[in-house]
Amino acid sequence: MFRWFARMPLATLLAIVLHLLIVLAIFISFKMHAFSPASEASNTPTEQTIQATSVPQSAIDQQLNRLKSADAQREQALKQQKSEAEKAQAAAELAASARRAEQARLQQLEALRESRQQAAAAQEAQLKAAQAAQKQAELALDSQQKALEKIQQETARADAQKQAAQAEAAREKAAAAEAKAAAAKAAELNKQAAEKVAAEKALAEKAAKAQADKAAEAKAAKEAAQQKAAKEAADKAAKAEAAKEAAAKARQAQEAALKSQLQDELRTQQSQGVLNAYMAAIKNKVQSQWYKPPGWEPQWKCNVRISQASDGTVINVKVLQCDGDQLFQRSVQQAIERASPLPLPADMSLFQSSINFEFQAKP
Amino acid sequence: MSARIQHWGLRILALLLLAVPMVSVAELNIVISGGQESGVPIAVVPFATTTNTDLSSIIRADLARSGQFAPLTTDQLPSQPSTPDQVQFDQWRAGKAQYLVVGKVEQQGGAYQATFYLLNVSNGQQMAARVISAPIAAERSIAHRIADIVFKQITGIRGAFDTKIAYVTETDGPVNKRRYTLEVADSDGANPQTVLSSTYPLMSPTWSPDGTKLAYVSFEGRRSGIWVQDLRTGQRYQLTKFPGINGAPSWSPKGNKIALTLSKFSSPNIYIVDLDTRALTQVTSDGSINTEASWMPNNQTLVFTSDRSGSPQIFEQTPGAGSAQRLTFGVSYAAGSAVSPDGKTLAMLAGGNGGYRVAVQSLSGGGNDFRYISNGGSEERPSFAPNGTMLIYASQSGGGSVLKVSPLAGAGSQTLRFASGKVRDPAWGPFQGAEQ
Repeated sequence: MFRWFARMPLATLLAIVLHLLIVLAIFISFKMHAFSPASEASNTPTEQTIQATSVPQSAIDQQLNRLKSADAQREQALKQQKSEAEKAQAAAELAASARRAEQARLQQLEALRESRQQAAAAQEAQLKAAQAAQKQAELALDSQQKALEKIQQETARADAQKQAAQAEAAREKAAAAEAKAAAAKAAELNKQAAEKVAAEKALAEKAAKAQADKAAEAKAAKEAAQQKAAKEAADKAAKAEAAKEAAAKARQAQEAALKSQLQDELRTQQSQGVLNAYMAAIKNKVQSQWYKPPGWEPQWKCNVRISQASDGTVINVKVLQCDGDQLFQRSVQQAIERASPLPLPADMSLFQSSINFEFQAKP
Repeated sequence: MSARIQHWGLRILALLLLAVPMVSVAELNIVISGGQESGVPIAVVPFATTTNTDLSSIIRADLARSGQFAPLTTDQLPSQPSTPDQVQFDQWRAGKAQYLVVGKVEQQGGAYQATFYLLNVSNGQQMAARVISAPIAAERSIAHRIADIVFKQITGIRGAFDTKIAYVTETDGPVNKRRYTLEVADSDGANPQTVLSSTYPLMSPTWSPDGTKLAYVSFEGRRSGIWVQDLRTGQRYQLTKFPGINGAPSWSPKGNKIALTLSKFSSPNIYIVDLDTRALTQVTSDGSINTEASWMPNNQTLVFTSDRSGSPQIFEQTPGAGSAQRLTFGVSYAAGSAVSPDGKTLAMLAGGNGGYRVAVQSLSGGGNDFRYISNGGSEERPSFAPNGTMLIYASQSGGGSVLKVSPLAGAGSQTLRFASGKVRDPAWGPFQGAEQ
């Protein structure tokens, strides 16, 4: 190699200069190329996800093959250049050729940039559409949540369950719609990517070297995007999972509330039952002790208020209003006194220290 | 996040709901209807005594006769205490008795002295504690007085057990061998005393309100006349001897008048004799039968039987204050009336398909509350106990007739026992002395 340099110093120098120029050009083109998708990506992080995940492996393979063949072509060109230099072709000719090549390359690059911008615009439009779809989906989720809230307010358990089921179905339907929209979007983006690849292929054919480098960069960018997309996909999945969990929690809370309400109702019913049993027990005991004296008249009534100690012992009997004669009134008082201690309720929270009795002579 | 807030919100709501009482138990209202009709269950424990008296059985019979008590028999008593200290109330509360009478009898010279206590079983309260004494001969009156006190304490109504009844007996035999007696006995038929004995029929005794005299119809001299007899001295005089019927005397509540039936030379009518002036006032004067007068408490108004509307019915009339008002409507035969001491209840002998039975209705009710008291079918004119709670009447039984006592409250009757013969025309005497 060194010998080679020594023998043809001018040619070697020219070759190095040419290479440096090429590298510089590629660097500039990369910079232009590399920034636009990155900025797009930062603007619409979620869209990238779907783009990346949906690129089929075959497309990637195709591109890789193309890149390989481009490499081989470049190798050949270099060899040719080397042999031309060895034949000592005119430096001016070479320089002119290089200038032409660069001009063409720049034109190509411009074309590529334009096509990329177009693609980006198209992509943005798509993203906006996708965003709208997302927003709709979010609205759907929102309305779904509202429906859930509404359901929670419902007291009737059966209705609430039915509505919850309906809401669940709506949610699933919305999720399915979302998935479908995502799939459609992904397909669209796929198509877009394929188109992009085709444009790149044309470019690569015209400027193999630049194309190769750019392709490599594109590959790198693609991979980065892919990674980012994967990450975002994971994020989205996590988010979806979180939303699902939240919904499940809300449902659980709702169910718990319903259950608690049901338990309250049950408790109320049970309390009513205990109270009824308590009253019945008192009634039975007092009634069994009531020896209504002969001579009573059917319309006779006697209202008394009693107070009792916590063990049911009657402490006081107050006759409020009483028909009939003294014997009748006494019989009422006796009935209560004889029924003392009064039965206690199964649940002492229902115990009442004061009870009103109405004694009716008529059976 | 919002779901979490909702979750906690619901929990708090649930806690709040739990904190609120689930059942409103601010006031319990319990209706007791019916009950079991029963006289007041009362235990009269045999009195502790070294004498051979048995006051408790007399007291039990008195209380039972009132219809308002259901005394326990001695074998139903869990124990036989004689003082409140000996009473174990828990033991008694387990039984049926609502009230408990315990006591003792001691002989002190020629008298018996009883000490008794009336106790409320349910609350252990002592309702009465008294000492009562009487000559040995009047031993039963001690029991009647105790019964009166118990009755008053529990019912609020003055007892009428320590009272007398007057009635007529007739011994069977050939017409010229028949004997008629006028008797006075305790309210339970015990201790009968003959105040007059005659070979001529005796009828319709009526008590003076102070209980010292009887007026009655006697056929001595083969014609009817109204006689008045002093029970303490046995002295008697003839009040009326008008031609025709002299019957159905009724002593006025104030004791100054006697209403009676005189036919003179036409149909029977109601008259009033002033006992001070002997002035005679005619109350009824139509051509129908008017008889069996009795007095309202106002000492003015008379209630009597008249067939002026076809069949015998009860009418009411105040002399000098308009015409008579018919009181009975429900039955085809209503006669032999008596007015309760408070003037609220009319008792009568009502006839119909079931024979002649004792019935009552309120004097102001127009017959709406008419009801039968007896169910024998061959009863005679009733008489009120002075406290208005019982009626005494004769009832034919087999070849003879007996006296029965029915409480106005409730059903059933108690037959007073007599040695033999026909017993009729009972008249229940007034309270004796002041209320104890």
